[in-house]
Amino acid sequence: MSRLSKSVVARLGWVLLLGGLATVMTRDGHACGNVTRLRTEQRAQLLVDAEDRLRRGMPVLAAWWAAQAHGPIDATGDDRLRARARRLLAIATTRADGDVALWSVGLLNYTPALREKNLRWALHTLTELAAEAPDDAILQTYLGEALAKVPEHHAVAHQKLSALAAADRLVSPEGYAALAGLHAEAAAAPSAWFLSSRAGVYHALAEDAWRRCDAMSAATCRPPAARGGGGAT
Amino acid sequence: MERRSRWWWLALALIALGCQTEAAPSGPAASARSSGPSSKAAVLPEVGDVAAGEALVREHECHRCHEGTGLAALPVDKHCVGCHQSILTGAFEAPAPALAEWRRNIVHLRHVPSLDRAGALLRPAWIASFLRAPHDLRPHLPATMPRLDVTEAEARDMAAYLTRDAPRVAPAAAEGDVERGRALFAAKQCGSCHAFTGADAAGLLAHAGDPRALAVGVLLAPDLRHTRERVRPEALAAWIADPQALRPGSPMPKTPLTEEEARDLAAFVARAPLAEPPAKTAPARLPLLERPVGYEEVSRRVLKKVCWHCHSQPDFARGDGGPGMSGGFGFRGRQLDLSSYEAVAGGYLDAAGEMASVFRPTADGTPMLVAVMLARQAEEVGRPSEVRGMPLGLPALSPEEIQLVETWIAQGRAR
Repeated sequence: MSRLSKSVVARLGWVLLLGGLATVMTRDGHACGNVTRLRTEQRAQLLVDAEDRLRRGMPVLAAWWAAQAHGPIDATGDDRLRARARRLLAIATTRADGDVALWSVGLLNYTPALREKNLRWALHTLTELAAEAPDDAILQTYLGEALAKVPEHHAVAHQKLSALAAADRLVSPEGYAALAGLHAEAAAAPSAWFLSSRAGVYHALAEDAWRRCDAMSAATCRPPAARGGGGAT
Repeated sequence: MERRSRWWWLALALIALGCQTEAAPSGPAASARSSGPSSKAAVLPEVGDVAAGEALVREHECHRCHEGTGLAALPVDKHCVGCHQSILTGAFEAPAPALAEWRRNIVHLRHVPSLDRAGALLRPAWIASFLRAPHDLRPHLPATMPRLDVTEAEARDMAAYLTRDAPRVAPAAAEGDVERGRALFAAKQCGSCHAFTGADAAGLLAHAGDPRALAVGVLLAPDLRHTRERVRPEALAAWIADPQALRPGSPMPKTPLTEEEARDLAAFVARAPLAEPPAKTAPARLPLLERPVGYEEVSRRVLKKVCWHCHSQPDFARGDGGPGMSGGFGFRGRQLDLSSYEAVAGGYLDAAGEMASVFRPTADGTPMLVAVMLARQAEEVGRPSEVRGMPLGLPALSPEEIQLVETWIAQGRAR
């Protein structure tokens, strides 16, 4: 079987599996104009399920479902659901370190170049979306996470995530984990953009961020390597 | 402004001359009124600016729930009751299983009173005070009237508009007899729909249980305790004799009565001595739970059960995300989305126009999200505060529900 055929079979398997899951899933049934699209538009249902998977730490699945709601990656148009799918796809790609099928390729044949391309797309997309909604704490948090993945953007990420945390509007444990890593980085290795920092302060801030992450995720966020001293992620 | 100013001077002049538009009560009626709940009804001049009132009624979107406002109907995704009714009748465009499920869930905003020809029956002063401080008026109908953010003058203008086409009713020829009215009240089974809190009346029937099982007439029947503040005295007997003549389409049925019987019933409703109702107190705030509380439970039991009907986001909505997101009922949009974990954490637009966390502590340390829930409990017992209670207009959350939210926040808001 050729590589292309394997890819097609794999994707078909995912479609059947996820389609079956979608059929049997139950939903809450509160009646209001605000929720009717969840019951009348399949794309809305896909997105809600994708967001649920993202929260449960399954960014690859989340991206796959969001992609179904989004349609072709280069699709455009004034469509609220597509915009939401795009946002979700971008943050899922970020959290999956680029291991998602954004383009017309198989699910499992990622290369470093493709991962990098995916992450660049995610950062570019979140930058665009966040610029249109500066008050949207979700988008700003997602953008902060994406910036934190790229060393040359750490200063901006640090500033953005710190501001959201100070206002208690950092919306996810992943955002706090990224912030903790940036604080720890600042404490451990002050670089040009952290010349005025004080290691002790950043250590304390990193600890606070880890604690917030732990509380929000009801789990231990800190990676084993960082336990015992506020290390970077 | 100048026009309003002229009305103020005119009103003051009329009051000074003892020429109020409504005759001051006297005799037994006056003493009965003083024993009733009138102390909570603000005494406002009954002169308002109709044109200003129309603009305010439009701005505060009375037609989002009520019929008979004189304004063009809103589309179904903006009309709370219309949307619910279309679901209940099956006219709403949705899959049959979804409709069946929603029908079971719709408790609130199935029926609200029409405002058509409200002035034929209701006193403008009462309407004005009710707009600013709504209270439980219809014991069998779940409360849904929001506390509007209007000044006394604005409320008076709105009342003037809502009563603009009030037909004049000639005062009854003679006063009725309270005791004969009391007997008629029982004989005509008025108490099968109406409560009459504090009155010594036979045949009062309490309707307990699911309000969805009750007839519209029962749901919309007001507690007659409030009649002496609500209803124009000169219209009461005529209303009892033939409600449809004053307000066609009213759920109040026409009961076979002679004119004298109608006067007697009116006398009983308007003048029967009323015992003070038991003092209401807000439920006690419960201590934090010791067990872990996660977002899923908070969302299922509180946020998605109640809050997100008004605080959602437009992506998944037919409409605009609700009045708590995009504005409505005269309130500006707060951009508060309570439909997902991330959105709750994203905050809201505060009074100063800045985005702020819903978890930020208020003066006594209570998180804002909890403070508004407690404020609604206080509103229900007649203690409104600067903080507008939430859910707006709807029954307050239970102490257990608030305890759940408070515990979740105190524990760090686990996802």
